[in-house]
Amino acid sequence: MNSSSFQLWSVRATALVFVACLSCGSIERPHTHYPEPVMLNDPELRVGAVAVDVTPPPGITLFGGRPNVRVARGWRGRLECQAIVVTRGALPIAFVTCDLTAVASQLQKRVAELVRQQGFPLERNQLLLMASATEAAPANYFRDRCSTGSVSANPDGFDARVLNWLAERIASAVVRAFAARQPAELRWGVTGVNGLTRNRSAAVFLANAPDLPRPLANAPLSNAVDATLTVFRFDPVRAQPRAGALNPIAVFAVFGMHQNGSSVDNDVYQSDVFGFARRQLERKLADTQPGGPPAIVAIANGIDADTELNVTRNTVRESERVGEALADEIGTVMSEIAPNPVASQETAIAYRELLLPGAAVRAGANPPQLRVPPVRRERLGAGQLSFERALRKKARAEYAFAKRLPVSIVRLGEIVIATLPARISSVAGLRVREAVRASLGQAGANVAIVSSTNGCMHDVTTAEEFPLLRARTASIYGPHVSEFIATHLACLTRALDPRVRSTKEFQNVCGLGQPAIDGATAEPLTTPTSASRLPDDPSFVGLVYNKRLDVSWYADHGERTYEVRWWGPPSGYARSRDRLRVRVECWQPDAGPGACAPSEIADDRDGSIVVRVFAERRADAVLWSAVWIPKITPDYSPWCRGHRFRVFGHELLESAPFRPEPFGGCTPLEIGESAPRVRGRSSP
Amino acid sequence: MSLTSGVRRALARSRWYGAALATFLCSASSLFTGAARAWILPEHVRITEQAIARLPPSDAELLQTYWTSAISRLPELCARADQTLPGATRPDASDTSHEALRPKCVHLAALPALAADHSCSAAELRAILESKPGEDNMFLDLLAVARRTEIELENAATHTEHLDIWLRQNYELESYDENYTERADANTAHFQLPRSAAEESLRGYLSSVFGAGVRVNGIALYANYHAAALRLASAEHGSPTPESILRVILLEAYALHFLQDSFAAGHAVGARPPRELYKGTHDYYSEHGIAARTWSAPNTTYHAYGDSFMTEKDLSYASEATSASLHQVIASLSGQALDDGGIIGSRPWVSEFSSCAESNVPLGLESLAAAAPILRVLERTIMPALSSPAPPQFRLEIGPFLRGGAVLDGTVAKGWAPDEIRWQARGVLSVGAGLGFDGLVTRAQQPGLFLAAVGAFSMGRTLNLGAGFTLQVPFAYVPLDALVWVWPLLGGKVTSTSVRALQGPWGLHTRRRIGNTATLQIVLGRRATLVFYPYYSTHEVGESFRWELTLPFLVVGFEHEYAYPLGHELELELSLHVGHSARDQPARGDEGATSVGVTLSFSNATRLYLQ
Repeated sequence: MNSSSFQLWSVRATALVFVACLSCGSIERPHTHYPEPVMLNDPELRVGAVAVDVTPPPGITLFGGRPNVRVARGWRGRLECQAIVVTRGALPIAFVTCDLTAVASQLQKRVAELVRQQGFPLERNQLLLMASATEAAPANYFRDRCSTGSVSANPDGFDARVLNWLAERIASAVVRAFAARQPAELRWGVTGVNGLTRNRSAAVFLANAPDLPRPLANAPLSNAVDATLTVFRFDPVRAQPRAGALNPIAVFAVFGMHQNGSSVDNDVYQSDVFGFARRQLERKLADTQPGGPPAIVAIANGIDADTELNVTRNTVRESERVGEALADEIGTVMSEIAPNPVASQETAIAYRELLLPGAAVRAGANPPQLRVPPVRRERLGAGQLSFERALRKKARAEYAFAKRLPVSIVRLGEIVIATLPARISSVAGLRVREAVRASLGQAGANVAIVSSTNGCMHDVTTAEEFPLLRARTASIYGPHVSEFIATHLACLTRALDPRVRSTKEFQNVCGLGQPAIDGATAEPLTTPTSASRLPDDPSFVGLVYNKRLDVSWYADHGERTYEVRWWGPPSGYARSRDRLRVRVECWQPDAGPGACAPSEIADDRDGSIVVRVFAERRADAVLWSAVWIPKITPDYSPWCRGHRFRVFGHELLESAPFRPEPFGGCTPLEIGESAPRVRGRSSP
Repeated sequence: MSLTSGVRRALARSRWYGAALATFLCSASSLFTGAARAWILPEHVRITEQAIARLPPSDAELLQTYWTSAISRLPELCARADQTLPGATRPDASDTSHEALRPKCVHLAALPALAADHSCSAAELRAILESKPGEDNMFLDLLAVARRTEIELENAATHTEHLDIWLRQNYELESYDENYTERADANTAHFQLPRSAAEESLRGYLSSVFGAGVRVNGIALYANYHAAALRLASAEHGSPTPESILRVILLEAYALHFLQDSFAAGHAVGARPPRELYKGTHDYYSEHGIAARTWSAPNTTYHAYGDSFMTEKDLSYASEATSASLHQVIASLSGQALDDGGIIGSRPWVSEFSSCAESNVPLGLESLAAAAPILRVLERTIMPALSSPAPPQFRLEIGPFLRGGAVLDGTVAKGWAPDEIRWQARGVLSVGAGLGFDGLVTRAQQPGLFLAAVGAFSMGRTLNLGAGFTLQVPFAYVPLDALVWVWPLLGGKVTSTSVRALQGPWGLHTRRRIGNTATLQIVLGRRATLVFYPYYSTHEVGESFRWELTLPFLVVGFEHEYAYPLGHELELELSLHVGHSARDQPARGDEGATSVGVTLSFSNATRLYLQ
């Protein structure tokens, strides 16, 4: 080495020994350059669909809409999103259904940004992010205090990391769905499904009389809900499948249902009724064509604000029953859809971000304005009073409420889908539907109303219902919100024809000082209002000693349940399903697990296993628990057969084989005497 | 051994040198943590060279054709695709000067080595190649360093020398590429992520490490860049233009870097937090190796090593996978259809993904977990370590520590009394603090300084109590010369002394192994113990003031263990002894007695690292 090179590197090297600590700042590094969006130009309909797990690690508050919401300690059935990307010509539309309580508009914006960053030309106004409205999903990702304040989340506050957590995963699914597009045919069916839901407030409903929409005017009160089930089936373009086999790319269903299956003391993430329905339908579809690519089932919520499950008791088991009934109904509609695709495979979308409050409801000299009303105080218990006071306090500050609310109209073949960023009562929803139909000029047109899409303005009611409701269930922008939304959705319906948009008459009726159609307004970045509560990936998994897992049982609401506990990493470790999952397998000692049918394996994704952090006694390890609530079907009964738990986590753990027994015991024994009886506890 | 991020970052901030020292002493340890890269530069080159040699003749012919086409767009590249480093056929080359080893062009096998470690994306790799054409191109200097390092490693006589060459190479690379450590320390891009028990198969593992929000990792980056290369290649339908060929080659080179990294033991064990343990763990497994299994042959193990310790086995496994990956690209360029189910061609991959700037993998990679071409290559890679039970993690001895020790020594010296040789036994207890900076200077230099207060009791013909201190400071030529070679650098001046100081002078301080359990090293001047006895008593003169200086010059180390946060050392030292007793009646013309002798001491010390 010559002296100059010596000098060159020596100067730097040696000096650095002594200046290292000054160098905490970093040199600017080259940044990633993302690809330019691809040009879409396929004339035919192309569809891709992907599902993604979005269950955060335990530790985030649940967004239950109650003042006493809890922090999640685990999950019962994983939270998932399903992305269905439909393209035709240069127009993409992404339908994304998620097991979330509501959608923050900033979440929608972030997802669209991330997808576009990856090279797919998805604008914000082409992304429909739809929440299933389960009440057991994470909170803290809303920028408006009304949705992330103390009345909706505990602890409260906006947490940017939670938002990014969801956005990255949802965007990843949309990107993959984009990439997986294939030529497809659209089929659809519509039916009415009574018996799964009922109207939960007859008095409020009857306040609308005599101006009740036709389907509800003569219906018994128990059926005073919108029972429309709309099903879209996207089939691959290929040779006709064998008789009886259905293997669509994706199924997209819309049904209105207030999912209140979780009890008030719930402390785990749950996908509730739609989750059960989805998984049931996926299993059935997989059974009809084994080995085929899995079909993605997405269910969006319809008109649901004043509905409730038609059950005698709100339990997860009842949710499961209703979910499976819904799956059966969707399956029936799917199978009854005509084999030939519909004549029109047209797709179109019109989108608008409405600015609230203070907006004029309709054109005229003195149009009523949307406003934040005072809070009603009558008939409140102590807890509710506190809640209402908190809400009233928030109401004084205008910023506390979402001010930018997107609505859209989508044409998918012969069906029009109207989306709104709120949950809407039955009568209000049906009036919106009628307004859209009127705008279409087709009295009998099929219009699906999808609620909780792209934003969160809580509940929307009719002006007649408004005085009878407390603030939580009334429209937070006053009695005229449903009218306002109906006006704009009707306008958007007309705007599906781009020639209409520029007409003066259209502007007079539909302008109302609102932003342009298909324009996404700028939305400032929101700074977090609280420290992040998304648990970190644990830096260190402490030494834990798990012997073979012991199985114990106890009675839970009259059902035998089986539990294992083990020491494992802190909750932040369970950041994905790859990190931690639990199965209960039928296990026959002589034949091994392969001897059991797939249906004889319970998985923590399907809701029959509750995984939770049982105790946190150490910083580097916590005690986990998995509880199996066996589900008995005509095809499968676990009683008196060998089973075992398997935990796929930081290490593979297995329980000793055990034999579930009904309360009456097993007679005769069906497996060898070697299978030990499990230790029992008499009470939960 | 590579330098740590803090050191290298500071290279770019030389104007701040003035305030550096004090700050360093207080917090340097937090910086010596992350920077670790996989195979060293010459090893990457060798892997790719062998991969090219492994290609079937038809592929090699096509590769040459495409390469010839590509170099028309970038004249900095060598004419032959199978070109090797200068002097590659002469491992004992006598002329190892920089000029002699500096190539005239960049050859294909060098591109994966220069990717990722010396650039952040394929576009930057190209930009650097284009920015300084000809003699000024830093890549040519880096390749010269690589070649010299390779020769020196082949000729290294001792293990210590090997480690020192590894360390020195990183300093040299840093001198030509000022962001070298920045890149390595930026994130976990060069590592595999640990495998959990739930990931039973390659597909399961890939689904996990390709997922949204997952930390950036080498396997995901290989898949991303390789998919980008394949998509671009297959889009040309067998008639690629020179520009597209060049882009494909650069993308694939970038991908191959991460593929090759996955075979380095220090990276297969994964980057498990905390960050402070990345480098220590990486260095340990690179040196000591792991029992590796590939996904395709999980029942067969081989001993895999890492940076600078590559064996023929490592070379074979890594080059085989590299060759398979190259084959796919060549086939795609030639128009052969990909057997990928349409996955790779379905979307634009983030070809300009910055492996330095991003902390998470690109979105939407999950679909590649089912892409057959990706699986066919990655099934040849090493299965990463399980997250639990995880392999032990290690940390370099860096940062502040508290030190406690005990020494028993015996001294034979002349001068206590006229014409008489006397002995003295002594016990010394010490408590102090210090700073370790393992990895910044060579092991032979004993990379740690400490100052400890000592209490001593000596027992010769009388029993005496004293107190003093022990000081250890690394140096190059003479004790305290650190001021000479450090201070100019703080002012931004250059001295070759500094360079030599980093490397250790003349090999005198090389640590020699004695059997399997001990080492022998000359350490004269690195450490000194000074003890004062205020009332030192002898029969001849009564009580007097006395001081004793002990300078170890030969150390036999029996044990130097480190398991964070505790370090332990057990040594037998042979030291020079100098002592002086002041007479209590100097007026009689007797100025005192000076004793000189040797001391044999047995020391036992424990260090508690504070971070």
